Amino acid sequence: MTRHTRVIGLGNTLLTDDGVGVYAAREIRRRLDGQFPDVDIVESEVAGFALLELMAGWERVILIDAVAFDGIEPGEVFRIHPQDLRTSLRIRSVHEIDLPTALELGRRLGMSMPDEVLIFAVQAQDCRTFGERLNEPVQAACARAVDMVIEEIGLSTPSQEVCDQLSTPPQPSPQAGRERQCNVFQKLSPRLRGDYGGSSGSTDPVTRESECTRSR
Amino acid sequence: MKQISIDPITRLEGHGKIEIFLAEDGSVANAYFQVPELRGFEKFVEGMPIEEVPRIVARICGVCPAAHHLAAGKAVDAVYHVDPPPAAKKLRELYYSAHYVHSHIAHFYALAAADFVMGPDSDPAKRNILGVAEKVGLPVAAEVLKHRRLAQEIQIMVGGKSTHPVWTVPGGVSKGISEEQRAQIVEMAKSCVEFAKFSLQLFDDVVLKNKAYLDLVLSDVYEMDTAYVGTVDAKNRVNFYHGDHRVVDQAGKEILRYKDAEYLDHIAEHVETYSYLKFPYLKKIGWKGIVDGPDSGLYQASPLSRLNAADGMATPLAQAAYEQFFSTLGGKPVKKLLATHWARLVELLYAAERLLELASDPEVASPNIRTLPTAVPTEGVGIVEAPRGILTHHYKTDKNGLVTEANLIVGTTNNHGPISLAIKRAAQKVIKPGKEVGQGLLNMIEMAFRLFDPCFSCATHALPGQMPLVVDVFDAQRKPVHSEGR
Repeated sequence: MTRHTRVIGLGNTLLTDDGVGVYAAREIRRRLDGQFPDVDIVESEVAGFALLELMAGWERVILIDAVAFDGIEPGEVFRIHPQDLRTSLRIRSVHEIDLPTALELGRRLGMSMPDEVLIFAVQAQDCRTFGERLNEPVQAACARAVDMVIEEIGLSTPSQEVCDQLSTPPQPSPQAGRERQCNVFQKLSPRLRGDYGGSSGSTDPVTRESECTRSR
Repeated sequence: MKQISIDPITRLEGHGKIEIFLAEDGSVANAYFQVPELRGFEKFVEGMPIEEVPRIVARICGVCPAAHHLAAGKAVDAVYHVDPPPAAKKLRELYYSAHYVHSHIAHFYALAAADFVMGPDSDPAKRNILGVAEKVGLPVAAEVLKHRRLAQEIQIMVGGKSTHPVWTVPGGVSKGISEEQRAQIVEMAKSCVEFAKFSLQLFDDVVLKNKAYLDLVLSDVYEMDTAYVGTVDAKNRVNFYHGDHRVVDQAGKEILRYKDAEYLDHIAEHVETYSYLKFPYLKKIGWKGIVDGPDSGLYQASPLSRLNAADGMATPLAQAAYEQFFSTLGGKPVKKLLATHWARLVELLYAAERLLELASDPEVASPNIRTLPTAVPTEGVGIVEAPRGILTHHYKTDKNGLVTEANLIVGTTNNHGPISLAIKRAAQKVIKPGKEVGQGLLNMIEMAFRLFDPCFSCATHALPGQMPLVVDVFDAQRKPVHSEGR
């Protein structure tokens, strides 16, 4: 039996801004306060096969993760889909499979993979220094990502009224609705890529332009 | 000078990059790979209670949390001068065997298999686990997932959590397992043994029985002559959790062996200006540069090196596989790097058999799982074999057990020199003047890199401060001609 929505906050809270997805998930859990029984919220550091298993059995999955896109200022939040991340099906991780491959493998194996996977990607400032605090621009972005995810949940979950009754109702940030087309250099976070760092084995072109919406 | 960059990772800023420098005539002048750095680990753990460290280091990286957890756990035992009871040691090794099953399955099927099942120059869109599944059958992919998950479940059952274990404590472990859980693990382990046997059979069918692939494994593109390190038990058989660390030379002869606490007497680290990551080498031989051959100070730390450094495997099926490995490849030591994939499968079988063996021992369900520490904490080293190479954790504390110094040499760092050399050699062998450099050739160079199962998110912690120096381009004399990333 599939269940409705799982929100997965990805990240490593030991590596400064890399923890943004986890912090966002915690805040979303606090804000929802158990009032959406259809929505499950998890924090995770996993990728590849393990992420596949986390996504299986849910109709919709919302991932929140840090990214390091080229030429983007820290603190931007992108709402994208896995297909935006795909440059090809080839290997690009040193140890594991990447997100699009995980989804495709799950489908081919007849697992109940989500109909919809949304990614809220937060542009990080620094994911390589040991530390347990977000940098300022990313902290602000975390709050916006939380609003956007809550809005997303509220929009498509049957109990819209419940959303209105939240103790801290979601306040869409002034910029959140302003979507614009942009070009994104596809720099994935290691978890979306399927590993946790290091090089891989792809000869894909370094970058790929993709359409997406971003909010700032 | 023209430059080709394989920048795989389109993907995360500053991540590992292979750079190949061509001479004017199109031959390869040089090749390097570079990695980004994680900064400030030592500072981060400074002042932290040492017993917290195994929990923290397991969170450095999601790929081998169990290895960091146990290496740090052993170091903490040493800091407190305490010896865990036998049941705790067996439980730790059981847990670690499950981690090996998990990690080796992921690497082989997600990465290695594609190059052989599909072919090194096959369509990149198919050269992945999906292509493999298409070719060998979807049920195989389902078995991959199933056994990865079984191994994961065992780790959760034993260690409390899989990705972030919270389990080792000074002198033992925080929880044991019940008799019922032990029986469950026995059944899960049996299934893992069968799957490991199947995986070796698959390698036999797909690679060894295919002349083209066997030739590739035996070709001089993937050959290297260095010393090898591996941890061995009292009978010089491979062990992942404890034992002496044995180094054999290029001829397979033991040249030294050391205990955990003695690593600094034997291993030193060289620094190059172009890389944050240090180059470990054998002190006894000295730093001779990134070269191989009988005088090289480099050593490999990998599944291949563990098999080369040992006299055998401690379980029967793995021992038979070990013997077949060396008889097929012409005796010890094996210098063909692509054989590392095969060695990884021999280790997978050993890990599964060892898992079964330990789970079948009633003592692992004993409640006697901790020796309480009573001594004043000082300093300690803990070493385990991480799936991708020997892993060393070293801590000093004050008398209250607060960390004052930390040093890590992680699996991939050991292989820094060998990986650099393997990439350069493969590049020089496959890229020829006048021959177009296509992605098939580049993949063959990447294969030299992937076979080490490298993981860098923790390999680059040992940094001199925060100086963000990234040098990209070197000329043939290794002088930088172009710099960026400052």
